[in-house]
Amino acid sequence: MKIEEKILQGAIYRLQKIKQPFRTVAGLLAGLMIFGGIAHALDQMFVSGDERARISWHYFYEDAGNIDNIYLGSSHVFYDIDPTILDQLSGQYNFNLATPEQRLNGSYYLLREADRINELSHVYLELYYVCNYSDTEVFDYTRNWWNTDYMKPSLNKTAYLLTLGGPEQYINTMLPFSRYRASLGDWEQIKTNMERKSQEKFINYQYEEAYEDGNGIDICEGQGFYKSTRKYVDGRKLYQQNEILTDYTIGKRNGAYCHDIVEYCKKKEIPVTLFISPIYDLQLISTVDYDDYTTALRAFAEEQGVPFYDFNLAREEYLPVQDGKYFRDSGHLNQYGAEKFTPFFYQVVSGEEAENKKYFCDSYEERLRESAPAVYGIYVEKVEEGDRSRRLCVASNRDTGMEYRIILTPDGKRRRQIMME
Amino acid sequence: MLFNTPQYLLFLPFVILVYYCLPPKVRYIWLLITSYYFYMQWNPLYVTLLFSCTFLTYLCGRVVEWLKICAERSDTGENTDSEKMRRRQKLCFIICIFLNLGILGFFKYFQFGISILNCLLAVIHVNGISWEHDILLPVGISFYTLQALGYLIDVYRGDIYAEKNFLRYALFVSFFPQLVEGPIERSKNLLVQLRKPQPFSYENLRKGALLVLYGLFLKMVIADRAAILVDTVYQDSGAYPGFYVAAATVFFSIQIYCDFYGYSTIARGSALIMGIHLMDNFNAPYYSESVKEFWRRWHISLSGWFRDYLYIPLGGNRKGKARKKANLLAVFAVSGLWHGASLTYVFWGVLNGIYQGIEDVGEDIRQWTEKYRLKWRQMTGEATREKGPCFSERLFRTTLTFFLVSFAWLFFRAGELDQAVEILGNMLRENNWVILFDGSLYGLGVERNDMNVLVASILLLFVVDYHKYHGKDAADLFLKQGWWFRVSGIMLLLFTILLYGCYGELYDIQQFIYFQF
Repeated sequence: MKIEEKILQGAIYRLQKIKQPFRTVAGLLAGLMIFGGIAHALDQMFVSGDERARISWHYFYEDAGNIDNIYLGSSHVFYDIDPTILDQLSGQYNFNLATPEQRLNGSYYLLREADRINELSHVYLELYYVCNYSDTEVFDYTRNWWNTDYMKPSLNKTAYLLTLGGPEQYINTMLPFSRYRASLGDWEQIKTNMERKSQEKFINYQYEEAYEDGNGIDICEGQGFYKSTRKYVDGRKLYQQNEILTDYTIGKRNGAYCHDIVEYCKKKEIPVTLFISPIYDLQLISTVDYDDYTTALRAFAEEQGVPFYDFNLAREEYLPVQDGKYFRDSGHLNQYGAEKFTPFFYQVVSGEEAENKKYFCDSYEERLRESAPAVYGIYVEKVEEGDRSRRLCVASNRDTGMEYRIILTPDGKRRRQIMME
Repeated sequence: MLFNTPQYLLFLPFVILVYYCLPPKVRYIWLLITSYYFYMQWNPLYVTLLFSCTFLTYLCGRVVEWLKICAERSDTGENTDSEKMRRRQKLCFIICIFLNLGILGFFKYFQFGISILNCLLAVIHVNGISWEHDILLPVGISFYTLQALGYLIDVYRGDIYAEKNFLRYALFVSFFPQLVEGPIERSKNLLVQLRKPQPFSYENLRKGALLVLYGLFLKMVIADRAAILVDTVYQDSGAYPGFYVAAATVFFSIQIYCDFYGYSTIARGSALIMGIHLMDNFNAPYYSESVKEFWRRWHISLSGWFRDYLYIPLGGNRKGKARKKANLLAVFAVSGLWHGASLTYVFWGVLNGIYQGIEDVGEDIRQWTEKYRLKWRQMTGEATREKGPCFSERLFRTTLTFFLVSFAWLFFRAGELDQAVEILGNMLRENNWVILFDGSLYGLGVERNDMNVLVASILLLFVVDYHKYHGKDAADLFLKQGWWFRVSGIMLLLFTILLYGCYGELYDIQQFIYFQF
């Protein structure tokens, strides 16, 4: 063999040796890209998710770098607090980083996400009792996936994903389509999804939901605020008892995450305020001992050294919203309620804690006693699973001396309306 | 830590990454640590048993070898008491075998033994022994005990040298991919490989990863989905008589194969990425044309173990036909008992032994008639060249073997003998063959869409096995194809697992069936 041939063969051999790792890496990258492409297509086909969370996250990243104050919490935040009013009052930029039934572990990572891309001046954390009542509920995957599905990739998101649940949930968490495996062959569902996702409204992150009964619409106008013109009419004031708050204590996990939120803010020198949005009295009365809840949270806030305001304890003269015309449903204010509540909220949170005491009663019971006699609606008592009996209770702020009439009228659609006089 | 959980899919890459970052000389220590960690995920206390078995067999192996050397020296005239040494060697060997089998026997057969004894005592109207404590069966004890005993027997026979490095030997017994469900490796294969760690190989990585993926497909898509149907019928066979039971039994044959084969494949793939070649435990068993062939292709490591360490020492086929059949029955009865402490497993084993005995008789008759047919042909001047069986004959044999084996699986699945009899009664109770075609099977927990995927996956399994049956390595064949074919195949497997695999909150993650043994 000639020397030139030997050199050539040697060069080819060396080239092949160098080529192999490149081919391996390129192959892996190509494989990952193909995998990602297919996974994305499947997501488009199967994942329905939560539209309000998707839109809020979109606006959140659009406003990145400009946000001064964030409002964390559940739907009570995104319906009740109008950030544009707060902007005018405070001269700062406010954003509702709220998602439906946001859990406290979610709030913690959302706070970190907001702080990662903004210089925050103040953090407001709303504490709706349903979201932190049961300890096991902290790792409610669906509610958390509504965040993780739309968060941009970051170390914070990775930490959120990893702490969301055990490894048994990793696949469902990382690959959203895998959660919808039960409806794989449901072509109707796929068709509906695809049609919805191809609409301009969806592509442009517009939210507008008109109700079938013609009673108002919900619209998103940015900054995480959902304006609702819907009113809580008497005929709908039948509430399914959600939780009973007798002897409520903040659970281990919830307490830990709440503590982490406060600690994080302290460490970053960001003031933090805990609060509870106004809820219609029908719902609160159904919880039996709402005062146990607010007392436990007050004690927790005192322990942490942070202000806490329960707007359900606000005196009627300062916050006159306990009327169906200010509520969207049993838990959320509508646009008119938000217009009344937001300035008062600002007045309270921007004032001195000692000064604010005059706006609030010491207990929910006291607030009910102070209010004019009223019947708020009817609630259906929670029963054990399998028990088919239903007990209806009247929610009123007086035990005696009240007269009311309940009329059940079929509305022609196999449903019954409840009229109260 | 099951192979079909995300924990393992995180654990394995981590182990591999660190393994290749470490100097080759200490890699086995890392594997030993991770293997013990892997085993401790079930119950940390079980480690004591694993360690006891390891320590006993290691010590005994060393002593047996030392005594053997002493005996050999005596033979050469250096010493005069060679016979004494050999006796001591044998004694030491037997003690160790009994100690190990004693541990296995206590954890696996003690309660079963008590119940059998109580039955016998009841016959002679004597009060039985009361034992109210539950003994938990440590995961994988049957597998690692046999592997360690195999090593000891090899040392005793002088087939291998005793391993001097205790940690390396401990790894041989506890190597995590095959620790809890085999394959029951031979020291000649695994121990040698552990002594010489291989450098990283891209080919091994590719093939290993493919095997892991295929194993997961077998387990999560086929076995666990078939399990839903099988469990529905077997848990209430009274409500699902006739062909429901028959169909469920056929599906169980597929389930147990894919369950066990899936595990073995993941084990092989995991080890291969680290450059360690484990033996293949299955070789397309459902293509077998006889039960004898089936057992050469099913759970090869166990069949081989029983052949080498039990059947041949018992005399094998060297002591006449009657003795051969008796040996076969004995081996299969022990094999049945090895699977579980219950008479139904013994019956299942014996049934397989009987099948083979009958096959032997059939083979004798066939040879006898063949001899006379040949003579006849010679006399008549016809061509005397031997022809192999035609396709239809082979198909018939394969189908018959499959149904015979499936029939035996009915006893295996039933758990208890009386239940097996009841299920069998329910199977024969009704002739409702129409349910196989009218969609009734979709009502057994596997809906139409899922059933289609299951059937398509089983077809894929049989295509792969067809290549294997003809001596081709399907993984190698696949990896030789064009890139588009490989990518499509891998994506198909991956997304079939992700979409149709049994995992997450919709399903109970099924434990591998052979874990209980």
